[in-house]
Amino acid sequence: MRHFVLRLSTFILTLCLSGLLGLSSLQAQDGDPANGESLYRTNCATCHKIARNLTGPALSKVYERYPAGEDRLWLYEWVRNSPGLIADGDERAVALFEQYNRVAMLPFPNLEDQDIEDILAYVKAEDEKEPEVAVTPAGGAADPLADPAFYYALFGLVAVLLIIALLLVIITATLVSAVRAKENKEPLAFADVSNRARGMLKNNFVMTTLVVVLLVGGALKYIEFARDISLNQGYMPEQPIAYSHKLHAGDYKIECEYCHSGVTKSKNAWIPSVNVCMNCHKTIQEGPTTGTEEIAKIYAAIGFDPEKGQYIEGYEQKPVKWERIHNLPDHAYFNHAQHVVLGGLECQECHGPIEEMEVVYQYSNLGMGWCVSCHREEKVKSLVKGKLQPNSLDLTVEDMGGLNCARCHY
Amino acid sequence: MRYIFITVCIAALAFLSSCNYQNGERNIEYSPNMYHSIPPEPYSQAADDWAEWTGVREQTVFRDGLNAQRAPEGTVPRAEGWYHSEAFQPYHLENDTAGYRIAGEQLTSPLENVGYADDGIPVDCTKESYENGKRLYTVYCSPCHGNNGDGQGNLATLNNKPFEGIVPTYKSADGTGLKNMTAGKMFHSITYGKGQMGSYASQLTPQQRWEVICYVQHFQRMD
Repeated sequence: MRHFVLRLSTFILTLCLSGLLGLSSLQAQDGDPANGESLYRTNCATCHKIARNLTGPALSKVYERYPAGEDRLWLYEWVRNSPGLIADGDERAVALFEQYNRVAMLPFPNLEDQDIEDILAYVKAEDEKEPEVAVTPAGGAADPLADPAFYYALFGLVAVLLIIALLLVIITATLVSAVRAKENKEPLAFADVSNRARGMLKNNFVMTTLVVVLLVGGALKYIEFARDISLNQGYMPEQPIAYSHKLHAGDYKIECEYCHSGVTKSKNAWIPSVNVCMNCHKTIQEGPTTGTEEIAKIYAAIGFDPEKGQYIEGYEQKPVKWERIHNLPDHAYFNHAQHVVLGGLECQECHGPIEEMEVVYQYSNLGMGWCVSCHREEKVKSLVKGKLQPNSLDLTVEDMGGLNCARCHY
Repeated sequence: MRYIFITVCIAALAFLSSCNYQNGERNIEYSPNMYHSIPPEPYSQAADDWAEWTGVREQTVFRDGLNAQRAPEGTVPRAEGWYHSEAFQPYHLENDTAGYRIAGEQLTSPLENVGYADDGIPVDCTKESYENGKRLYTVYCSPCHGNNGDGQGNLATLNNKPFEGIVPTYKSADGTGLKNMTAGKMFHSITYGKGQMGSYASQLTPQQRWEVICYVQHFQRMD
């Protein structure tokens, strides 16, 4: 027994010792990953990611690309003074500079050799981590009840069942009446019903009532329909890119004006050109709902290579053909800047809860009655101490000539 | 006869009630040629509008078929330079390392400096410019750089945090990051973009860029 305990303790001791030795040798060679991490975050993270190219190349395996020795010494030199190396015409430095879009890396003269080793150790530690399993976004499986196709299918099924039921009733009725006719019994009550219906159709009172109801109903329906001609309330076309206002303006709280920058400057609020998308999507290459599919359309439009993280030179750019939703007729003038800057209106007052819309639709009807009712009722705001506030005289736009025809039609 | 009449009435009702435009179709119009502009409108596609009321499919004013045309190279927007004659000039520095360096050494804000101070921190412009800059910063910069200039914007902190850890800060205690960035370098970066940041020249006029810079320097001067 004692023998066994002795052997066991020796074994454990050896294990611990070898572990310690291994650890210390690792540290001497590779530096301190914890210090490396904080250095990486303050100095490198703005331009370098480990797994993929950002502004600069991916740092994964960088310790293998520059193994200890001459290469590693060159790397120290590069980190501390890359513009100097390029200016001196160092072959390797110039090649790197050319490869990454002629964007020079900032010099970091205050990083010591040991600091750089620490960063490399951190990169190595990150490389050796298990790759994270891609998490499927919550609610990825579409809710069948939210899909209109589900209701169409349900409706179709019910309709088919009803038709079958009707056919069966007719067949049964025909068979029963045939049998009864053969047995010389009374004909089926079904024939009485049909006779009575024919009688009603020949009755003038019933017919007149029916026609009047139909005509009045038709007229009402027609007025409703005619009033909506040229108005497109609820218009919700499919867009070439499945851009979600809910995700951008709702979840990430990006201001409307960020993309629609013209809203304070011009008549149109501006549909952003693709370079505005690229302000973020140069970095964000995968979205939470559609993955890379929709973002790839931005890259195809502007000519961006997500692998290299660079714009493709000489690419023939293809503008995105967005479907226009809000469209006033040519004979009516509307100015966004006037309403937003002077009027102090929020976007949502006319465009509705945009930040909740997965696909944008026209919220207001944009008819003349809609314009006029707001010009009659809304109190004009005035600039008091640098802030737009409701005016003290209860002036409306109408009081200021806002209902003159030539205000909007010229 | 009556049967035919009734059938027609019912059919008409059914037809009218089927008139809706909810499924991505536009409603019908009274007189299309009063609705669609004959001169090019940037956000109405010429070919489509022309086709609708002339029946000519391919006719368009411009050779490439786009109504939203690019301004010819070297165009100076009229509104720019409204306040400052210097800003009337197109930006003269190139988008390269030398341009960045020269901007940092030579470029200064053309805004009027009246010694205004916000919360005891002096800024290099008038109160009006500072307030404009604050509003513009909130719209265009804060999604990444954060409301306090610390790199903790909505895109770095909400949901999937796509920008976590890659946005530099304007106010770090140890003087790193963008704490000591000069106004000229900021102007150059906003105009051309820098690193992962894109160019904001299409969203901010030179005047607005300087106003934003005036506000950002307020962060740099905080402790």
